[in-house]
Amino acid sequence: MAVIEVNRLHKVFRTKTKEPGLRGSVQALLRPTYSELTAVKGISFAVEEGELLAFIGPNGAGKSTTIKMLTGILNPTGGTAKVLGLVPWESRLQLAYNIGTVFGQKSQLWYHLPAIDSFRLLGSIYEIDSREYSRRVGEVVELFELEDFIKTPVRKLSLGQRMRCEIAASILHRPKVIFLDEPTIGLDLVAKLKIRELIKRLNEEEKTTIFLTSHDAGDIEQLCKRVIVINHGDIILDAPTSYLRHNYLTTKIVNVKFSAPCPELSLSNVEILKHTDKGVKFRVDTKVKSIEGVLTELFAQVDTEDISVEEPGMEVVIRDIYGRAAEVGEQDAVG
Amino acid sequence: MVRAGHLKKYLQVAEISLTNRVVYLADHFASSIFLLLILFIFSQLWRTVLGAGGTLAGLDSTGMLWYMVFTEVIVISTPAYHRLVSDEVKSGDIAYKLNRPYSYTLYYLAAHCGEFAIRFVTNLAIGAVFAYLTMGPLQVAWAQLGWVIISFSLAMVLTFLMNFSLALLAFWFEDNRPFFWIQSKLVFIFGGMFVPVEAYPAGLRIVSYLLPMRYGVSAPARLMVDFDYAFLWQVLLGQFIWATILSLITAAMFQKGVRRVHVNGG
Repeated sequence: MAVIEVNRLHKVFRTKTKEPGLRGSVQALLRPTYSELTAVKGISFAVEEGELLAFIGPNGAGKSTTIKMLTGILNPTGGTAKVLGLVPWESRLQLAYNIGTVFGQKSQLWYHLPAIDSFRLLGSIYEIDSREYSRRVGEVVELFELEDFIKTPVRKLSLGQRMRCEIAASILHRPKVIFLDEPTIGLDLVAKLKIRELIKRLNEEEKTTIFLTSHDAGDIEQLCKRVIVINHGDIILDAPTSYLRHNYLTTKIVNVKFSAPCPELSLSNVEILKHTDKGVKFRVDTKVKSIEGVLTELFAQVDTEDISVEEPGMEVVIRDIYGRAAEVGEQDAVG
Repeated sequence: MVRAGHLKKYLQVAEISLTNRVVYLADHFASSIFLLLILFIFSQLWRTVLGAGGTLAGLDSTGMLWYMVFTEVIVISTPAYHRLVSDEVKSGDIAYKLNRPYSYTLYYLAAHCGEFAIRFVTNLAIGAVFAYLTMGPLQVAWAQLGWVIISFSLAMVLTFLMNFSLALLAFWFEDNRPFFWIQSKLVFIFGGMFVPVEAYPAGLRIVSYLLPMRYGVSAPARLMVDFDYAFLWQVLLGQFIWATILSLITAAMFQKGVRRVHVNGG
């Protein structure tokens, strides 16, 4: 069952423009001019119950605008959307009881007070009865391992600790869908791993549908089974994460260590990145030539001591998708 | 009908707002130096101008200073939520406020009441001690104090509505400070912050009677220092009418503004 249904969703922002300098300021005051920016261009997709979906794209691609429309805080210019059967911008308050949001660059916690005070407030805001509230706080404190700092003022928490509290605060009311907008932004590696583990547990143990945006390839690679890539307001790819890895970008890096020095080497259809007497590093596009084919050619010329094959990181995959989308855009513009 | 759950959430907002303010209590006492300075200047002024036996709008120098304690305390205890709303719109933090199951306006009213309450009590304590030591005690109409407290409570709501309706201009202009600069000057004059509006020339007095500022600042202070039933009914009626008008304006502004607010930031 689809919990999010988006159909031709469209958002245009109308913004005032101003020429530089004082003259421009006066002109803007007397004769304001406006420009229109299309942030989201009629996108359509659906998210099934219990899915953990990555919604990614470069800055200004339209990710956050889409989330804001799906949570009801922005009205679209056109198109329709339903979240849990409700039109978000028409039933914002009703929907709020069943969804949660985390905006990685903003905070919902009271800065000078301990997180537990914000939890208590949110318990009242979501009208959770006191017995259920106590039980739920116990659960999230255990799940997110908050007991050591739940009573410490938020201003004294590390970014990682604060983000754990932010996510915990967003799930107190057991939302069916949670929108995570860059939840790992600015975190160190250890904190990122912790947040990823928690998101995964949230999805698996509580069956919460998760709509995740992130610039971190690791978040997508380690968490999501499906990826939607948005660029310039358009969806340019909607596919399983494994599809990206195996089909979208097929280049692999092969590192070979020789048993004996080999100054001369001839390999067809590969890009040699580094070649010394002791080894070679090259890139293969498996669509052009299989790894087996390259290795057969290699073994015919040299004895090897060690071989490793590196898969491209998701970051490279994503960069490639953006790059190809940009190329298509340029070709369209020329055409 | 207001459900218990609804009421509880707003009471909780008021409580956390009050608790949050307690963190700043030391800062707050430091800022009260300004209140003491103003009261000191005016205590000297009223002593010189009114002397022994002189009155202004029916108040002697002691009454005038106590009147000013209450007007000043109302004004400086009013939280500057226009800045908060403006900052929320600019930074996009408003996203967290808009996607909650509560009324944005009632949320801020509750927060206003919590913060106003603690600021009012601490400012009043400081102002009252100063006025008592310099001018002597206030003749409190103890039997009618309940009415005065009702009037002060309505004034608290009224000051919120006056400020918040302007704060919502941030949905259109992002920076709402210029409107507040004008409004604060109007409160000085038509709110009778330094002098009861009854002492104004006829034209100015009529204008101040027609505006809400008087009912939010001057009128409850006047009731406190010079209680009169006829004046009380007039004040309560004015406060009720203005609270209704400003509630409708605020609700309409929010409905319209929330549709066009950009919610900046990623």
